[in-house]
Amino acid sequence: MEMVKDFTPVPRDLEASQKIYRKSISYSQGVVRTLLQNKVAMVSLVFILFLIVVAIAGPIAFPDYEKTDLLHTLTPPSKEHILGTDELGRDVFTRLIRGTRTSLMIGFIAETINLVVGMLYGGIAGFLGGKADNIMMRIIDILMSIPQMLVMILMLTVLKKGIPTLILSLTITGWIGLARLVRGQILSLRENEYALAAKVLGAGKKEILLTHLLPNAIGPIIVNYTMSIPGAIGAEAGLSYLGLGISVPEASWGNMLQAGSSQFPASLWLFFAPAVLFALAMLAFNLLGDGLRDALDPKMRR
Amino acid sequence: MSDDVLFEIENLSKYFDVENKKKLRAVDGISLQIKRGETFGLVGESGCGKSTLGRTLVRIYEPTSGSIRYDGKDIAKLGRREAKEYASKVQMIFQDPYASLNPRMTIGDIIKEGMKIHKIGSDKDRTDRMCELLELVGLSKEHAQRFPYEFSGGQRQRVGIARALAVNPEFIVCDEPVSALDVSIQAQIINLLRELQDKLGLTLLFIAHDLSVVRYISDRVGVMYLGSLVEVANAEELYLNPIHPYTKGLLSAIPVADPLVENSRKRSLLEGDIPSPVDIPTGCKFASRCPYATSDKKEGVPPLHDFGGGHYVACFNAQSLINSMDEGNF
Repeated sequence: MEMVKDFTPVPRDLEASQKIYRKSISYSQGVVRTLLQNKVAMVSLVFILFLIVVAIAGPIAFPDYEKTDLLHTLTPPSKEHILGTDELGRDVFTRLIRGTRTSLMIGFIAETINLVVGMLYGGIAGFLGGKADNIMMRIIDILMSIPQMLVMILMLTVLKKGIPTLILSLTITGWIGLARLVRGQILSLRENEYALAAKVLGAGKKEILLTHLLPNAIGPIIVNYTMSIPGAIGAEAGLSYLGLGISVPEASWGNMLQAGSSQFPASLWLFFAPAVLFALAMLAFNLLGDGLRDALDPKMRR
Repeated sequence: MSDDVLFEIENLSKYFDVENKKKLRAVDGISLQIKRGETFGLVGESGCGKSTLGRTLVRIYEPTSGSIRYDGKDIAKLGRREAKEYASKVQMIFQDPYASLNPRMTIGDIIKEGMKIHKIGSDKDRTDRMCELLELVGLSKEHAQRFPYEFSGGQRQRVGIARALAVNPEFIVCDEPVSALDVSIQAQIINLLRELQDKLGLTLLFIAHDLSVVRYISDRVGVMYLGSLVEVANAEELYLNPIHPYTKGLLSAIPVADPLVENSRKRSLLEGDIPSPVDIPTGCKFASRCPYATSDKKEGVPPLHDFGGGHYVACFNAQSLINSMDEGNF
């Protein structure tokens, strides 16, 4: 048997076999990439951005949300009024755009206030720990024992109705949930071995808080923020439905739903237009929240 | 002799507050010397205070009472700058490689963190040193940009070791560094630690509950029970001639690989449970489980007493136990 001599073994390059070809990416790049890959979250994000644009620019393009037309009341959707008119002949489409601004504004402002207050309160309580934490948490327990709905209804009955009062009533106890979340996060992260390792390395309190605790707590905080916005919008809708929130002629999703239900089922468009938009917005915020949670957790990345 | 003592621990206690104003006595009056360049093994059951002792040495906890002298200096009295310097000399390797690395930081940043805190070198120097350390612990510099979740437990533990070494420590507390790893990986990490100790002249406090691992890596071994040391001796001496009944019980719990020996050997089994560290019995802490306990209640905790050749035992009956061993009645 003749040996084939034309082949020589290729020398194995150990260096090359150890080489990593995939480009490494930073944490924030990874978050963006994972989020971009998540179709559901991206559709939700686009929809929310669309709503925000509508909320800002829409009322400028369609300003006549208060204009009544008593000759054309409760007309079904037509070329002139694509979503029909209500019982005073106001254009439902224009009012829906106006309502989007009101509802989103209330949701974002109320939850941003809750975020800031909750993060500060919870962060301080968790980081200080011990007695200070104990006192701060007991204060929260006392606030929690007051039924939130009752406080809101009471405030809205006593104070002047309107957006500022509504935001105040949504924030007066609304920050508690986030404060507890942040406090729990910081408290547990503080005892984490990597936080201890930083302490052993000689890191100061500020360094530990900024490089180890907050970056690891920020994920759940953002998710909580995103998911609580529909909560605030929903609370607005609920209170307006009860006639306590935004009152006509101002439009909001809530008072439009209320107006629609009073004409139900004769004038279906009055109810379904705000209901569908409201439901889609709630769904989009929740799905985006889900996507953000996955994107912010490096362990979920593929 | 005294100048090669690195740690001089005297009557150290660390109590934690628990409910009903009670105290949990995790470390309860320990005195111990750790010599420069040695590996001191610390063994004992879960909850006996091994980790608390280690953490107190690296200043995660402040001692309740007693003193720790490092290189002759009381570490409780260090100034700000000295405390920072101490933090670079005394490092720790943690038990759980999954919890001890910040998931948001790259391996490179994790290793460089200590150098940043102590302002060692320029950023480029730190990167070079970080690459060196990665290779030293058996990883490759290509790993620097990766995140902890991309690594296995053994690799993470190597990163933890590199992080500790980055600040050029003299002393490292290894708090059960292998108990979360597979047996095959355990051997790699243990050998890496031994190798590094030889190369860098480190002093190690090796905390573990795996007695065979401790025997393999340690020069001297201390046995802890309920916050106190009950026996301290050279590793071989302790394993061949244990005196304290608790040490005997622990050692006889190690299974023997030969089934014939395993079936026929006489084991000294420990009865009962460990008393709660919140309600530690007075007198000898081990008395409630000790087969040799005498009925006459002796006052106080038995002190560690040298029975020759640096073999310390804390037992009221130690002398009679030694005598009976010499007569072969063991």
